[in-house]
Amino acid sequence: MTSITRTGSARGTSTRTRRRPIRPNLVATHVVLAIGLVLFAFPFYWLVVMATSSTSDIFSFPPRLIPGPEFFNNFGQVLANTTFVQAFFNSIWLTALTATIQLFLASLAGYVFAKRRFPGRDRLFGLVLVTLVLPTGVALVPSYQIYAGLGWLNSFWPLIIPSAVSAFGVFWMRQAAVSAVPDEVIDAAAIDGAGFLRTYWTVVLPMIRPSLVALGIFQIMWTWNDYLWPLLVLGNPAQYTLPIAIQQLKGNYGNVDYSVVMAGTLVATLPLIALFLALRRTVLDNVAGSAVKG
Amino acid sequence: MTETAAVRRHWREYLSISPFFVLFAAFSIVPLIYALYLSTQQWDGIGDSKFVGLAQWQRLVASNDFWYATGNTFLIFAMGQIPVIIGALIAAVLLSQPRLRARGLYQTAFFLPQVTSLVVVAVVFQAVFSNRFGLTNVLLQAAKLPTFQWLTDPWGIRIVIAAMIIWRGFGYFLLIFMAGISAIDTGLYEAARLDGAGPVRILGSITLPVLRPTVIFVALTGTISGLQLFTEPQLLFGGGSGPDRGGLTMMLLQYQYLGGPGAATAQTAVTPDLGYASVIGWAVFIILLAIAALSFRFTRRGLED
Amino acid sequence: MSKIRTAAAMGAAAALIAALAGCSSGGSDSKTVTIWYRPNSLPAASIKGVQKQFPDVTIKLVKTPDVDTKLTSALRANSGVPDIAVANTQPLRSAQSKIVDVSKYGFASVKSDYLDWKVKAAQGDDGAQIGIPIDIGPEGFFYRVDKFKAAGLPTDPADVGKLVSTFDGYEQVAQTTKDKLGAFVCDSPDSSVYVPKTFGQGYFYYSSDGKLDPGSAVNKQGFIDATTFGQKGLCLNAQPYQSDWSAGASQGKLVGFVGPAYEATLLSSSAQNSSGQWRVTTAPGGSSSQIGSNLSVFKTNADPKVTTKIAIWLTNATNQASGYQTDRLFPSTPASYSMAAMKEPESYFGGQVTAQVFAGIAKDAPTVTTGPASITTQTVFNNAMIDAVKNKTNPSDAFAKALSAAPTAQ
Repeated sequence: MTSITRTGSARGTSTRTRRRPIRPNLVATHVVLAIGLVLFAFPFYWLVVMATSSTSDIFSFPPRLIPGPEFFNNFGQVLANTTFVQAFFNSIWLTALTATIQLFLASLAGYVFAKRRFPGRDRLFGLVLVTLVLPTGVALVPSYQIYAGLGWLNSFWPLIIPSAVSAFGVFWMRQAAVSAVPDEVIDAAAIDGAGFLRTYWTVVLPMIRPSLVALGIFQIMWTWNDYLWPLLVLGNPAQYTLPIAIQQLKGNYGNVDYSVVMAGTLVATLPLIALFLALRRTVLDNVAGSAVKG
Repeated sequence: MTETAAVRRHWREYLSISPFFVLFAAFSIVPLIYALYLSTQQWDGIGDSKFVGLAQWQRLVASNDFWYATGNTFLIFAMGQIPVIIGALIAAVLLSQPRLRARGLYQTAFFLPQVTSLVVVAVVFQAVFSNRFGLTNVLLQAAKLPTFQWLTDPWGIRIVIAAMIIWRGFGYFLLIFMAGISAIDTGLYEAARLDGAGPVRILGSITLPVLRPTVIFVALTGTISGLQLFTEPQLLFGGGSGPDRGGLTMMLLQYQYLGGPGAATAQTAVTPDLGYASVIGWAVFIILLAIAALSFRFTRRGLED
Repeated sequence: MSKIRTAAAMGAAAALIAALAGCSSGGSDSKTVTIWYRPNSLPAASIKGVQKQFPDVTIKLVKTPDVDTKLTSALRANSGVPDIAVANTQPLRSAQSKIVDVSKYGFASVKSDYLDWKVKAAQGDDGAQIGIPIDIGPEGFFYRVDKFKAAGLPTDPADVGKLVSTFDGYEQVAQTTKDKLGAFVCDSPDSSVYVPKTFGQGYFYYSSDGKLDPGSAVNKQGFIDATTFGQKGLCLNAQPYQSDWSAGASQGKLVGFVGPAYEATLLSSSAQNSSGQWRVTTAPGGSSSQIGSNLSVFKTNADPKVTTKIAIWLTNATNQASGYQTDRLFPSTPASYSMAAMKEPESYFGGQVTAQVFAGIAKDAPTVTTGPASITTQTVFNNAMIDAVKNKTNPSDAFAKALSAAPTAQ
């Protein structure tokens, strides 16, 4: 992988300002992307339509395709029938906490696996990869039992601890460090007298920022939407997270008033969209180069 | 230098990676051993369990369910997971073109399915593909074209599941690829273009080589998660396998034998048996490990730096 | 310097993990009674009044989705089990050793307040009472007056009930609406035909002496008749709670169906636009009822006597009567049927008092013998029926194939 790090350090020759005529290529690109845009955004758009209509309207013919006036009515029912507000705050702090822990532990481990040499490193990393493949599902029963034995049922610990650091996160951060952090930079930091933690904090972290933020987005999304495990271990409605609160709208024997559920879901989704919009540029825009120069 | 001395010298490294291994030991090893024990039992999960030795393994080998599920999983994997990864890579390259207008709009649209809750996904896909009143069939009918029984024909089911995988996974893989691409120096592209390199050559000679760690990551985790396919058919059929078992996958079968969530209301046509479920879990583990080892071999160079 | 900082950061992480070990949650004691229930599975009056009724104990009501999942998980690990849960009893049968036989703690004296068949359906092995009845799902025939009129069919509930009382009559109605309106009075052959044909005989895959018996003549006949009915193209072929069902109801393509009382909730939210046009009458083939849920009392460290008393109070006739209008919980206590709450006309049903129609059906419904494998077996046959209707398989062959895939007694 040394070839990558070398190309990485040869940055800074951008010719951004040069003018360029419109290419047919670009038109084709837009056509392809626009079709994708419609297909991918449609279900979300439909969520908005459903959340603002009545259930009966959703299923009528021709199908309703523009947002209706029922949102506040629907959302009012969400507030009346669930612990939505409390669940919202539970989800916020729980998600923020687990994401912070995950980002710190995974990036630290990823950096160590990518850039530090120590006995047994490759074998230990192999073990990390194997855990990606471990059979899940059956683990639900003993996991529940372990947390019960620890006395952690009906608390948030079973939601915080297992997602503190994942094999996925460690693997992802290692790959990021391999490709984005040139060995030369680490060596230079060592010559400057930076210690282990300072190198990690001031040199490595800024350089792997896009990947770090991407992992953060994923971790937040997963924790935010996780349903089954929180359902099993949380025993008190005051502790419920958003997905459970919304499922409280599912009545006896599977009765669902779709538009009400959708109104709750829409509001529950907004923070994730806001987060994505806020962080989008960090991950998706080509900002490379600045970190190396700094 | 003795080994203990080396370990002592590298205590920071070991300490840094220790949280992962502590959690692994506490919350993965024990369940693993437990699953091994369970595989020798017959247990509905609530009543008394019974020791059956290797009978569950014999059952796995002899049953047509598991092998059908395995074949179906690979089929859907090929129809959904492979296209979504390749498609996301292409989209990532397209979206990283300099001075592309409305980039943010596209990126956001592609990412929306990722934040859309699974509850919505289930409702939308049922409404779009349902046999009689689904949007697709209504449109086909309006265009005087023959309709298709998306949710009852086994191939229709596979197509719908593949579409769900593509729809849900696209933004995820896009984000991963773009995070990798954003580490590439824009100057490299400009230089290559000035040299007259076309988009295909730029992809082959700059983007892919630099992206190699990302591609390896995606190939490995994407294969593992793609073959553990479960959420999409589970959403579509409430835990059942769908008509003619068109949506049955390995993990869905395991879920059914676990007496999965909503056991009392889910459309599971099997008697829960945690022993059999853990044997399925181990079989999936072996299959995935073999595949991972194989792909590891091919991509070895990328993992070593 | 950096070493100290490193150590500090590592220490913080370690401390976090160590701190967790000290945290424990309080278990339930005999003074706290925890009740798990699905949304809308307990009448509002029960929820509101229970704490006042039992001031000496702390009652913790936990409204949780997917209660059966949560309960299974807790029972498997034998920890975190609540004192009372509103749940389906069939899957709990294998956990009988963890459930209190409430007949020993005061249920015996109030047993006669509940429908006899429902009490029996909540019994485990050796007659142990492992559930206290709450709601049931009497099966009625729902239909649309305006559409029936348009098809030249009678519209009065009594007349319609008589017309569809036999399956031949039902088939004629189905043919008429299909020919004249292009609409269906059968949602799916399994719920509109198979259920009344089997439940109406008290059959839920077990013989009356409690043996798993999927090969019985009742099942075979019911399966073949329902499949044949479906293969004639007389059903919409949409399952309740699927979007095709709701779309069919909303768009006037589903103008009748056989379903339990609680499906009125699904109907009224899906087809708000035909409010006032729907009616309920007796279903084809006589009276039958879905079993519904029960309150199970678990052997936790709470006092079983008090817990049983609470469960009985939660399900008494007055409380149950209040659950029909708002939550569509049809009472299993006949005394409820003559109470005012069960005599209110409903605008969605054009002013009809639907509770009284279902009350008649509930009283006549036969005792259904159930067992742990009932639901699984039902799923096997339902799936087989849907496949057979779609693939036009010979019904007898489809039955034989399903029978070979059905669970066998262990």
